[in-house]
Amino acid sequence: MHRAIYAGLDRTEHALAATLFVVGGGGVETPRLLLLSAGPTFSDGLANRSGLVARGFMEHPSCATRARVAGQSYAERISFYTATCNQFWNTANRGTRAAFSVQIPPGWGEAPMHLVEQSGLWGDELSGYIQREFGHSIMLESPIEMLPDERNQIDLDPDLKDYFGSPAPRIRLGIGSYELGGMREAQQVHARLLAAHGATDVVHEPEVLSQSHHGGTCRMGDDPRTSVVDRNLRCHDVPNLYLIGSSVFVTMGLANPTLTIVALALRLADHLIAHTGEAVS
Amino acid sequence: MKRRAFLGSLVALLAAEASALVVGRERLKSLYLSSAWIQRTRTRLNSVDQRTGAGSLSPDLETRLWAVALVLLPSQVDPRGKSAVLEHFRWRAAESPGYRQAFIDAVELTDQETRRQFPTSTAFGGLPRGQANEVLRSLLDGIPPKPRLRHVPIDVVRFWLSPTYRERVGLRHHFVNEVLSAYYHSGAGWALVGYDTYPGVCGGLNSYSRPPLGASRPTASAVEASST
Repeated sequence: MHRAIYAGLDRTEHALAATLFVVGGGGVETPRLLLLSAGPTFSDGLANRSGLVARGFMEHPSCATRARVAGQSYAERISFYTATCNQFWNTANRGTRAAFSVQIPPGWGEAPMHLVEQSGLWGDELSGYIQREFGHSIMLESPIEMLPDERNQIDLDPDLKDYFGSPAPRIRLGIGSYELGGMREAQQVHARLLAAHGATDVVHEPEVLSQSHHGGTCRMGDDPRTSVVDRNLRCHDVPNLYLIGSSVFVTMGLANPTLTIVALALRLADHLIAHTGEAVS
Repeated sequence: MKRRAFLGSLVALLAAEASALVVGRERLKSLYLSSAWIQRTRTRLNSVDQRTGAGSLSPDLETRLWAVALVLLPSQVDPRGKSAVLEHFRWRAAESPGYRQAFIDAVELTDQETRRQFPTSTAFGGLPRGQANEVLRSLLDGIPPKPRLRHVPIDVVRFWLSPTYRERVGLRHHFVNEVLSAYYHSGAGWALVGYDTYPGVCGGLNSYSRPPLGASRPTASAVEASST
């Protein structure tokens, strides 16, 4: 690889020549960039001789349960999670169902505006409804561990284009019995916790929610046939191209991915300094 | 009209059930929802007409819009909410093509219904609050607050059978929802539930910081000194 072509907001293309390239675009944009960079040498996408670029997409799907409590839940008082329980992370049946945590989101869909949308009311009826209902709902949410599955993948949308006219990423994502097992158990835990609290109107959210944690689409490994980058994050197929970010994850675990991404970035920086002889500031 | 709408819905429902038996419910649902005809109908029903463009609001139109908005808000309007709603009207009309006309259509629809129900009145804005509420109820009866997928079959039937259905959906989605959203997203909405700081408005360091146990709260000058 000798140069990268990029465009600014004015859509004018520029070329950047370098001896070494590092791509850090996350679990969706990194594989998309590689797929968009297909050419005569790599007809299925840059660094994609294994055919594994954009495959094995993982997320942290979540399930949630809402309920009504008699006391005040102090909704939306603070903007970050203050209550998380990891008791159900590593249990005896981890091999048969996904790990999950239980957390209480700070805002659980009952800000005044959300109550407006739910009620369909207006005028004094609406303001009275908001004053009565606000602060009496609670939500328990459980992000779920997800296993890699090659059927979960990203490809280029044949119709939808981005601002630059390039195909948008299209995500195909399904969850299997391992993840569903974790979700079912999480819902049972939610129900027990809420019953112990005396909550009423318990409703399991019918939809699988997302934590927007993307990963696993350019997996790391020693074997070029079963991975995209090696243990030092160098692409097997393109020796001067490195990938960094959650796309190189082999599994997703349950922890939020940021600290792992940071650790990998620091490790990559050390590796590049040691092997290129150049200081990176 | 109600009888006609009912019969239309009944025929559509029976046809859908009969087809479901033959083709399969899920397959039929998928075909139906993705059909170009349904997509076009939904777009016409749920979108503003962008071809009408964007533009500023005249003082007269702004007054008429506020007169309708007042009925949607609590009888004791918080001044912060009033500013938020008026600012939102101006911003939407100027920046989002189609909304200026949608606002005009909403006011005209309420005026038209006012004259139908109360022939001695000429404008919705001149009605007492109780009568204004009656007019709004009759216009918004059966209109879901937000577009919903499961409501699509009913929407499509009503769109083709009711001459004012599209205008009434427009009133709900492009006027009522806009007013309520602007008001209740502002400090007025949060004040109603006793919050003076809320997501997006932290209220400064003193509003959310708490000193360690046994320590006194740092003074503003000490905080400033520690951050430089």
